[in-house]
Amino acid sequence: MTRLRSPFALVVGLLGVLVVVLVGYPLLRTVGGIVLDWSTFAAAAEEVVAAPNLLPMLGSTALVLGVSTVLAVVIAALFAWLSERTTARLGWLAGVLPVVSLLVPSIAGAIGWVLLASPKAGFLNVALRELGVPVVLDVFSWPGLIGVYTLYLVPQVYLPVSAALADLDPALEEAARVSGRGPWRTLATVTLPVVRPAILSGALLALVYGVALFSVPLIIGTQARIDILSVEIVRLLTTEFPPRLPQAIVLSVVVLLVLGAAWAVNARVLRGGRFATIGGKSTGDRRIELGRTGTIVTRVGMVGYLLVAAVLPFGALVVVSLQGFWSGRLTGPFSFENYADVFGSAGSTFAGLRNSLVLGLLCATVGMALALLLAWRIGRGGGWARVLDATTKLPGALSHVVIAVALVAAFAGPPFALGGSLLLLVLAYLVLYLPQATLSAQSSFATVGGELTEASLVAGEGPAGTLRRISAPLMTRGLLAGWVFLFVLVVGDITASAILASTRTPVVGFVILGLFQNGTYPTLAALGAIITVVSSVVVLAALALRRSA
Amino acid sequence: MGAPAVESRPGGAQPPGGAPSTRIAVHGLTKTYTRRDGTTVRAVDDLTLDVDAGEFLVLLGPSGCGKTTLLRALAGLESVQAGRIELDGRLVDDPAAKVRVPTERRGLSMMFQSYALWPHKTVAQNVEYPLTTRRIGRTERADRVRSVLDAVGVGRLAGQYPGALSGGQQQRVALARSLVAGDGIVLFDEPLSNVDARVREQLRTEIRRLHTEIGFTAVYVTHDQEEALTLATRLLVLRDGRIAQSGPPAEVYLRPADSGVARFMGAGNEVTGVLCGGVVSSTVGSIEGEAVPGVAEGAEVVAFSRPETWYFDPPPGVRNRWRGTLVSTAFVGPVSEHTVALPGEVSVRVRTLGATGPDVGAEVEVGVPADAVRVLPVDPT
Ligand SMILES: Nc1ncnc2c1ncn2[C@@H]1O[C@H](COP(=O)(O)OP(=O)(O)O)[C@@H](O)[C@H]1O
Ligand SMILES: [Mg+2]
Repeated sequence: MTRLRSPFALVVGLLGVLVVVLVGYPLLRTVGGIVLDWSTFAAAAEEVVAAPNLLPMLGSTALVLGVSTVLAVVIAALFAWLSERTTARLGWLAGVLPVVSLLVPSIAGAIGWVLLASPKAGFLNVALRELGVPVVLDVFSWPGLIGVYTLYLVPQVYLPVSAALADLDPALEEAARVSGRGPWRTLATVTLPVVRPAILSGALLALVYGVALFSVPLIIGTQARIDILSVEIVRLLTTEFPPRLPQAIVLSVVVLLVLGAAWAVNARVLRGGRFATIGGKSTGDRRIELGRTGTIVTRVGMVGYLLVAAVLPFGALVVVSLQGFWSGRLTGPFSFENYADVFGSAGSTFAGLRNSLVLGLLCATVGMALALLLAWRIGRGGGWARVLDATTKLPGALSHVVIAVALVAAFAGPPFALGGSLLLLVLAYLVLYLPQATLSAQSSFATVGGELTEASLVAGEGPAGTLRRISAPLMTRGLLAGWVFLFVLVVGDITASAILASTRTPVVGFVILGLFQNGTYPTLAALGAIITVVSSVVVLAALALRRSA
Repeated sequence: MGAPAVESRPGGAQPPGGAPSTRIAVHGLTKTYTRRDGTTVRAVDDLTLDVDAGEFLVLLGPSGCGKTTLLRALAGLESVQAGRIELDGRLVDDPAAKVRVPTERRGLSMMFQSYALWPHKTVAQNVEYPLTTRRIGRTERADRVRSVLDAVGVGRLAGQYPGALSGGQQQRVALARSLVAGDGIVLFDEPLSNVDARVREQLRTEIRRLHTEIGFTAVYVTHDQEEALTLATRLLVLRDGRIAQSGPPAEVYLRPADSGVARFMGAGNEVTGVLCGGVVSSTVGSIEGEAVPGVAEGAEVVAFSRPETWYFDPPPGVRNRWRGTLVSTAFVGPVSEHTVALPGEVSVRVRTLGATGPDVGAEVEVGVPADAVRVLPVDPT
């Protein structure tokens, strides 16, 4: 069949090839490197395996990730059900809950929790002492580390599960109620089993995100003497000199194997059972009555989560950032000196902030434009579309640590020599957040697909014109959401920044790590507060804009 | 590739003198789908069809018979495996010659089942859209939008967004958008299936009026036989992706080609028997009727007749007549439907106007004229 190759289709085709190369080359190059230079890697593998701390590290990583993922699934599924399917929904809260971790980037949240619950000077502990309660909270402990991990994994599960529940045909639940099941039995026997695919994919997302989570184990785990894999990989690449790339790659392969196994399990479960198709139309707003007590308990729980996940840590950051030193008390004298430090003399801090904002704007805009075109191409079907679809999702299946390591291996050295350049950071952010960008573009395409676009083709408008005049305008809200997501992810990124940035190209994540190693808590708190405010302003502005659109 | 859509638009398509010209020519069209379990479905199966200028062709058939697939293939929204499609003499689909003109260059209009009104454009902008892709000046566009909106009765809504309209109003706007391009080819895919019966009837009348006024060529898909009979200038019954019968609506209704078509077009009395000396010999006796071509002597056949062609106390000329018992009567408003048990375990339905007819349990004589009986092969071919 002859397809007319319009210039537009040609450009999109080229972009597709570019993306496939950008994602595929570093991974192939890394694998190829291992195969070609087998002796080096064999030696590195031997060294890694022989290291006495390997097994304890893998064990503690597995424990922390396992427990926090399970906790996150339970909390998120419960919250999602309460706010999508019952009368306990608290309008604005249901909107904010999934984006909490975007409001307070993990690095700021981790520092905030250190300020709240370190045994001696934590605000909560000082308060407990003064109230005479003989309890000491210790964030530098297994429960502390797992708790903060959980806070950051909950939104990963909440998003897919709440979306699935929102689309659930209420008749399914009503049928169970009519058959004599109470609300909780209905939840257990009908609702949760029906949305099991969403719960599983949420758990998987949480796992992928958790494996790469670096700020929390660095800031809390290090002091708690709990070794976590992601910290070790970054250490091999950044604090060791010369950087020990082969060892880092060997550890990344371990991560890859674990995630591969998780994907396989997920795929098997999804293929094994036939799940009820979820009615696309939500028929009205029929919800399960929870009663007064249930509603109150639910709302207290949700507000509590919000406090713990965002309000308290951010409050701690603000208070300490206004103090001369961290005392654990809400007493003055307060001043803006720490902010002056951030913006003033200490050169790389301000540069980092500026670079991160510029990169955030740039990558979010380029990323979403790219995602729109790729999603369009994927929607037109065919073999190449499947390749593009898989390729753009691949980074989501791998850990950020793995991808950053692969990018270093591929582009840092000759012939590209991009090591320590802003371009490498841009490429890294684009690759890392490609899954989120294309997913949000594809899902908003899905809502405007079908007859709306066909009607334009029949009216004589070509594919490019249809995209410009019909699809894109209708997708504004979805694209905007994707843009915000990308912006906040880039500004709050720390894993890639730690591995790929340098003193010549500082970004926020990189600067914060430096301050964590050599600076004072008040300056750290000031920077944490600033990025929290920047992220929150962008997210809330976008939420407001979406509502008015 | 092909000429741009504007030049192939009608106006020039109909030769002077009004002789009908072929606007759509389909030859040997085949479209198969592969289901997920690996089985293939021939949704359209070696189908050949011509549509002349000004025709209102209705595609009718049970759900899943391939109506939508055929319509979407005409629009270029589905690619076909074999066959040819020509629109106004221009080849637009021919897999063998690797010709496939994309949808946007076929110069068609289409009214979708879901209306497919763009929510970010006003009613006027929606209707104007097909004109903006054709080389038409701004003022003429505005004029045509206004007149077509007036014609479908929603002129006052030009500045509204589709979200603010009722279902019936949205449907009228969708109709306006598919008619704004002029007397071209307009495809309809069950456009009236989403509104209530009253609105449906109104719109049906209006589509017929507009067809007479504007003179577009229509291919209209429906599974509703009443709608098909009202709208069609020609009716085409599809079964399993093939044409079961094609002809004027009255002919398809009264002279069905096989029992499948006969049953699909409405209720009927069926008496099975054997064709013997030109009459059907059955348990109730011999029945005179008109055999469809190709039914051989001695073949098993069905004598098919519509209930409204039967009489109580038939006039003297009617030779198909029997005595029986009136078993039951159902009053359905305009007509009553009576069930009569005849000898030989045969039962027939007889329709009378209003609430007329004998009492239940009465001995009655019923009959049907020979020219109202179709003698059909037992199995649809
Ligand atoms: N995308 C598809 N994949 C597989 N089979 C399909 C697809 N679309 C239609 N079919 C099959 O093709 C046949 C004709 O479908 P369709 O043209 O939609 O029927 P109609 O419009 O007459 O109800 C049906 O058997 C249907 O199941
Ligand atoms: Mg159909």
